[in-house]
Amino acid sequence: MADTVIKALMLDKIQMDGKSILIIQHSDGSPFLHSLLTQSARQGRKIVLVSFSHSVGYYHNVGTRLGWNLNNLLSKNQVVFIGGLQALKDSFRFQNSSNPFDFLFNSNTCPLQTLLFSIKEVISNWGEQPFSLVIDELDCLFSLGVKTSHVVNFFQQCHSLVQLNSKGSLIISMGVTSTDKENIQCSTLLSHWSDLVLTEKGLQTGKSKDLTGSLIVNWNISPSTEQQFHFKCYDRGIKMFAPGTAVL
Amino acid sequence: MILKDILSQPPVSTLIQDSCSLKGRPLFLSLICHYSENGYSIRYFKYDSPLSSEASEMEQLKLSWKTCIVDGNEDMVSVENSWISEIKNGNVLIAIDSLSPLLLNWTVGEVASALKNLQKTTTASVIALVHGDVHDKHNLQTLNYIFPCHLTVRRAQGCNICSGIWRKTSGKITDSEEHYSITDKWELKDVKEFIETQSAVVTDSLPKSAVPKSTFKLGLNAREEKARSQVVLPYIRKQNESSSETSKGKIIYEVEAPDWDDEDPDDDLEI
Repeated sequence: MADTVIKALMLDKIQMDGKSILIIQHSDGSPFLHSLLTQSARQGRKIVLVSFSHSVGYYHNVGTRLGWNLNNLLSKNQVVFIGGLQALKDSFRFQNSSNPFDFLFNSNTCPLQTLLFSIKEVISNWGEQPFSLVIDELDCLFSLGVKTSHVVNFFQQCHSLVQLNSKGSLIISMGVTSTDKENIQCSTLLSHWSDLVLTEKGLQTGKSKDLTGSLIVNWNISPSTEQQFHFKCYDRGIKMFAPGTAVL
Repeated sequence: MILKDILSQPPVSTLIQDSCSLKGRPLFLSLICHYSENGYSIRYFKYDSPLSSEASEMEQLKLSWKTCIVDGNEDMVSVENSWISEIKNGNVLIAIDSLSPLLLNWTVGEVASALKNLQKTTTASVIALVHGDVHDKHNLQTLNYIFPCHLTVRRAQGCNICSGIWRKTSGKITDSEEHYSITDKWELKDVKEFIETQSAVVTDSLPKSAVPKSTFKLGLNAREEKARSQVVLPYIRKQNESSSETSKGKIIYEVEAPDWDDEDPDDDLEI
């Protein structure tokens, strides 16, 4: 079922090398990030997965349902996981300046610099191989006290990393709530800078047994297009529908 | 028509405001391309993170550029100095793409002050892009005071629309709404005044028939209407019999025979 998402977004025909994808979630959890992770794993791309709120076990469990084994890829060094939860726990015990989350105990003018260096180091070790830099729930940084300007700066640095290496792609997910102005400001600005923007929302009328929500797809590369889909989440993937065709 | 006027004159400091629904960058680049072809030297400052397609666009325009990632460690003065240092002789146009990252790192006052200093100390004009949906109205309003010409792009009725306000040096303020399109060679074409056609206003009037639309036959044909009009209602007949004068709100009460029960209600009690 991950294939239906890739086909609906035309990512089987459009090369994402050197491009960026932004997923804006108005509801909890992004099933589309996992579909894109599955595609990257199946294509044999190297993956740097940065997560601030989930453990590696979570991604492994979801990946298993979608047909790929994260632990296996970790052991082969095809995937590198930079996990916030473990690093946050360690950062309070060992206040190490090489910890990617040193900004929590060390007030820095550039809080995310160490995290960026960690990512750069992993990518440089891979040389010219195609890779995907995946950052899940970038909005968690606001909860950790990082300012909007630093988050935007971090995105720009990651974006330039991916563009320098013509075979890299950047996939970022951000949760947005209507009351959080900082979040909305950041996600709107990043929407201007991303080649593909997926905006995922629940249904306006509430819950439905036939549908989980709606997805708006915006391509910022010429010719710019906007499409809307409805989708339904299952245990083993997502089904996409044109609006109004879910019950057909 | 502001778009046509600014193309026919030397460059004026212009702010282009866009949103996610319609990007202002094509208009921004077409204006730069036009001034470049007319002999102006362009100094392009790229503060936005570029899309993958922008590298080929800039090659096509033969503009040299370098992405500047704004860092909070710098101060606005160093950014201002980087603009001024590029102005070595006359006929220079500073192109800033865009002001949004600067507004995140510094206050609108600092950014506006730097732009004002640039315009005062040099003869260069500035064309800047700003993403209107990222910033609040107060910040955008402040920037409007710095730029004499303000263009807002939006999408309406399937066309690209540019709403412009131009405060000329003589004090006259002109405003217009134009639709435009941009060719593959970054030329502005089809610039025409835009007149928004409003949908036909339906006057609020009572429907001729108050019968709701239904699959059931709720209405009456002419014969049934006539028969209904000939029905005399019983209370109307009674009213006419009781008084010859037209009564207004009179209650007619007929005393009925009293309904007294002679039986003792407590008769069944064995007291």
